[in-house]
Amino acid sequence: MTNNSKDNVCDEEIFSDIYRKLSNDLQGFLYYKFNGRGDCHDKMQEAFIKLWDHCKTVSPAKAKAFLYKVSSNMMLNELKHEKVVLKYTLDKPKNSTDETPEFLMEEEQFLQKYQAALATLTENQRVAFLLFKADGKSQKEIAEMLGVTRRVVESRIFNAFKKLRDKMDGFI
Amino acid sequence: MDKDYLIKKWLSDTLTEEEWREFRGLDDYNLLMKLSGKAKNFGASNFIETDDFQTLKNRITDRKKPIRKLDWYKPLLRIAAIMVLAFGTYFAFFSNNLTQIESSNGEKITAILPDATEVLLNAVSEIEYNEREWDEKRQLSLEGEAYFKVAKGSLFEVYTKTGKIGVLGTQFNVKNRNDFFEVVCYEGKVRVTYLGKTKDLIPGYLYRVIKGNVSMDTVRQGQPDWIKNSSSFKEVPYYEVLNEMERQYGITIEANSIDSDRLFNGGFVHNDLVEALRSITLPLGLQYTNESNKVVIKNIAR
Repeated sequence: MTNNSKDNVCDEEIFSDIYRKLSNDLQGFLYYKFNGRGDCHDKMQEAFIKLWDHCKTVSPAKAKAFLYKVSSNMMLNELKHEKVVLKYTLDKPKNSTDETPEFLMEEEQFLQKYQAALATLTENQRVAFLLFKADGKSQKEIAEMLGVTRRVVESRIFNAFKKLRDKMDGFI
Repeated sequence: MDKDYLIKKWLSDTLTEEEWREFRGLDDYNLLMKLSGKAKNFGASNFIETDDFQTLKNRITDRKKPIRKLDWYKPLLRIAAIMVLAFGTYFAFFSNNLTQIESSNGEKITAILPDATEVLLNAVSEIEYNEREWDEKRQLSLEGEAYFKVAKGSLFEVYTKTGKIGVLGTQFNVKNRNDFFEVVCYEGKVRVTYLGKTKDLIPGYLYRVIKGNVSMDTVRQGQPDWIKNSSSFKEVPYYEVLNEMERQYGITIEANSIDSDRLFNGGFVHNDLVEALRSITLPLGLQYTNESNKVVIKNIAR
């Protein structure tokens, strides 16, 4: 994307570069935004196909915004607003002492409560929070992804934490 | 120190050592750390995988095939649509649903029109009419000879190259061959229009135009003889008699050496060529030879 001589993404090298850089993040974004509903992977690919079809009119710098916009719209078109919660995985026990049934049960209970708490976040809070904590993105990266300022991302994450903490209060 | 401030600093990873100590002292510390750590368990990468670029590339190329199909399919559809429109327009404005009924040599056809009018076509004759508009306009065009039994109703019109015949409900015969035009009324009343002049015929009368000469005469009432498989003529030019015989038997007649303008009274049958030829030659003192349907008529040599 640093190649300034090209003003569109029709070149396969540029296009594949964009794919490698953005596909994973885009997929994660869709997953958090739509609460794990729909086929995020499929929509991500369709967005890239659409980008390829419109490659002449999209500059490499605009490709990211294009992909996020297009894939979000595709998801919105497909999904009805049903209530869904995000799935979670249980940690693999690190050592034998953690393997007690009691520990596993507590862990499961915590994650279930966590899951319910996550469902109470707004879409913006959930996306920012999970990109930050689940995917380990920096606030700056998230701001770029969502097209908002870092301050907005910071406040979304902070509010998400506050809400989660209130819901989970007394659990520990 | 404000709790929210500490959390914000923790989030942006800018806590000083002093602040860290305070942060650890918060009652929420354990919960916050656990929330932070366990968020990974909800991560998208736990549930969906990202295909490599090659998979996407394959998907793009695989998809191209049906699209290329559409590329020829669409113009084809356009062409088809234009053709349908063109044909539709043609039939709607030009063809007008014309029905044609045609008889060949020696053939007689009975046609029933939409209003139950009966039309009997003599040999080598043709009628043409618009079936769709028949209820509004009872009009047909005729070439040759036909006998009409018109059902009662609105004006019924027959157009020929020579003249127009209009009737209400009646029976009449129209014969229009080259420069021979004849209308015979058998029942009711027939109005003939020729060169802008009209003439009403009552039953038993015929109206005839030969080479522009108009004449009228009486006929035997009933039905034209050709319907009963014979032709009869009253003061008709001899060449017209020969033409009629050619049509009925599908033969050619050569009569160059005789006067074919002379008027003929008599007739011939349609089912026996020898007898028919005799009946039109002997009374006039003529003779004929017949070689494989090529008939030559001459004066009897003295």
